Amino acid sequence: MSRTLPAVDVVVIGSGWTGSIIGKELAAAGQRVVMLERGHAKWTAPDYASPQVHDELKYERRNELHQNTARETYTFRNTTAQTALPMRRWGFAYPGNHLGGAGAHWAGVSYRFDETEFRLRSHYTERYGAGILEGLTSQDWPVTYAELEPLYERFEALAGVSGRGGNVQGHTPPDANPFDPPRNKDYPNPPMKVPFAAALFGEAAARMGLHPYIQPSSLVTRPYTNSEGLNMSPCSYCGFCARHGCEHFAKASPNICVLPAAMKQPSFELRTDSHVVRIELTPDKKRATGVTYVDAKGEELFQPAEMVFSCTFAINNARMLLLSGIGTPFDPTTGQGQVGRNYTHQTTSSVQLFFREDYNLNTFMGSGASAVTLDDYNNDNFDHTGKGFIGGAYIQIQVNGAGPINFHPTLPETPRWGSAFKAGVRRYYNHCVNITITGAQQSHPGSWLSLDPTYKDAYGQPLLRITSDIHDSDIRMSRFVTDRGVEIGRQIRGVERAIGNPRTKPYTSTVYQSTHLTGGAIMGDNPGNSVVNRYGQSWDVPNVFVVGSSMFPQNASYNPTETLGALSYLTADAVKRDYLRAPGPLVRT
Amino acid sequence: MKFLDSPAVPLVGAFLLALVGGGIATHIISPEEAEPPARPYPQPEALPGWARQTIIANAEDGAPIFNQGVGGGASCATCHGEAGIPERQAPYPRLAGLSAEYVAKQLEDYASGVRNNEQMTPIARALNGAQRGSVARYVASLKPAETSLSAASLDMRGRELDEVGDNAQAIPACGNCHGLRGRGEGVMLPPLAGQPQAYLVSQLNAFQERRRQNDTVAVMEGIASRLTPQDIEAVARYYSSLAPVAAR
Repeated sequence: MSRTLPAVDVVVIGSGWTGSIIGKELAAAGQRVVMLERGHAKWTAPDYASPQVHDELKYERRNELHQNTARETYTFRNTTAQTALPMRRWGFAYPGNHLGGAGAHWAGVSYRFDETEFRLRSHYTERYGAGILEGLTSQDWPVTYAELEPLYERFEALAGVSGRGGNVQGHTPPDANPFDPPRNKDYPNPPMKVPFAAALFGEAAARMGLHPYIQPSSLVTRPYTNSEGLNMSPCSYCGFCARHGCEHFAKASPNICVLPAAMKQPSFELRTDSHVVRIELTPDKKRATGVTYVDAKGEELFQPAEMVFSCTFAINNARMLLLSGIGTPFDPTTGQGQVGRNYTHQTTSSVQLFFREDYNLNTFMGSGASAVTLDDYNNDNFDHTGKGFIGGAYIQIQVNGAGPINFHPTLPETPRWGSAFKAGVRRYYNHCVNITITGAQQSHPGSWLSLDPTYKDAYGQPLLRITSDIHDSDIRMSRFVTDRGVEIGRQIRGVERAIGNPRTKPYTSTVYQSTHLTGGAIMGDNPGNSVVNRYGQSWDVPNVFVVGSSMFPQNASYNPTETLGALSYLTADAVKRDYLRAPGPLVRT
Repeated sequence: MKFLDSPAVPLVGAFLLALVGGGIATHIISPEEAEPPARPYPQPEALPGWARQTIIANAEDGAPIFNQGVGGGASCATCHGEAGIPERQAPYPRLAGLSAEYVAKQLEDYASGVRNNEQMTPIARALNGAQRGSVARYVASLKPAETSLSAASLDMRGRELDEVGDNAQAIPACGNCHGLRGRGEGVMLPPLAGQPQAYLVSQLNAFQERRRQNDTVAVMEGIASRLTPQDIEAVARYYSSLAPVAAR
């Protein structure tokens, strides 16, 4: 029997970007907020000070900041005919398990989604006919780019995003991205510096008539005081970014950009080492009464609350709903039910470039987001007629720190061990870089989330099961864009060989394909096509809000953080403006 | 050194220079010319003049400048000491242990005024670019003498700022950039260990008051602006008591 704690207004599950933004906004509006974070409290000083934080083995190979797979993981299979097995070692995903969630160990890449993304089905149907979407369940968002534009701006002011806008009130600087969606203001900080390898990429692309630009990034490029009055210091391009905490107060994170402001609110309380096991409902399942969680001592506690915000890592939101009995689980045989539907990842690929020995690329220097990118083959920026796919990918060279444990490139024909391997690594360590290609992924009925019938976590609860393979449409997209990458790679000075590696089936959990998992609790304009409304509010239990990339109906090519930040402000504003005055559904159908 | 005049030189990012350890090597200069694209594209920063001068300079040419000065002006040794180690109580920096690249950049910054000092500015302006490069190379040849740690190194607040920083003020640990116990990092992040306390205090105050603005991304201006006078005193006392170590 769990012990009942004093009631509060709001429980926020998770201290990542979404939870931190919503928790801070509601506490500042006078709500009594309790934030429950399952991981330890970790702050820049002292927990991320160097040199300890530059331990590549600890953070990158042993996943220091990621969910401990011995306690909780995902199970994985490609088709319903298979029995899913647990992921015992992370190949992708990297769910955060510490203060700030994945927002503390991310790389800082900060894109807005393209305007077409928000009306994906309508846009492609109008331009190419409905046939191009055959077999896909990708759908329109219930929110437009224009509605999110000012909220993107707010997130950029919070995170101190650096970049040069390619469409600032219609103005496009010559080396900015001409495909940028319209924006009212430029980024708060100037773009990052350009590494040598990325510059070579941009030079070749520009010569080919393409449109390279410096990737926008939440690594600040000058001393910056953010929209919460909190201070950040410029990035030093140390090369230890993704999977590490940032010791410089340079990489935006909830820990330095939001939580200190939240904790100044007298009505805000943060509890770390607090693992929520379920959201509790009234017997009629129409209302949440609070959450049950297990604290660091192992004691089970019930925290009553008027509102619950599930802001866990991406697809863990679907698991929280399934464990709590909120909504109807998706059934792939009937197509009925919404919870778990439209799981997507990203369709990534690469072109390996091997350089002459007199090109010293020094890719060990860089940052999580130092890149030159182009969008010529992204979104609907090119003609899709007859190509058999929708969407696209961005192509870039990103120089994010080639650590000696992770990065030992050799030619494909080089043996994988022994003296020939060592000689190959010596030859190419400083003369090899990848063109990375990060693409959208479309939803389809064969890609979904459910509770695993076999495996349980350390608390005795079923693990989340991923059933997924990549749709042929995305396989065709990957081949098309990877071929374009190879063409660029061959034009780069000093390149001896360019080897394209398009994504192939089957989709596997053992190969890194970004950490950007989405869907499972998607948003839509009615309960027949979604789990939540545009504010992340559950159609079934209106005092439960489920916010994050779990809301995306399908995944864009771009990294999700800016968009989930903007959605967090959309939710917080609607709750403050409407819900607090009249609790109940914010969207009537 | 034929590459130095190549149109490909702008492809060398200044930040590469700022971070690469072991001195500026010609091999980071792009090895061949290329037809520049018609369309603008994202450019790395150009190789700065001081870096070019430092690449081609010789330490031997710098020795007489360091020891005798030029044009009848004061020599470097007068204040900084013949071995690059000033009097302990003097407000002058220890030069022994600094890299050629760091020294050359400071001289250029004194001459241009982004680092302002009434003694150093006229001296730097009296030197031409080649002389600055040479004297910088000579300074880099001066090895620091080892000294032992004194009791003052136990200054706890100074040590805290060195090793962990101050989360509430968003002050990163000094050691994040300046290396373990102030030993320096790469060629552009100077060692702090063994610098005279008065010098360190003067420089943190100069960053805070914007009399020194020669940090390329203004990191130190931002950090110094959040240090209290007591913190400046503590961190300066701490580093001045540590044994200096040559920049790696």
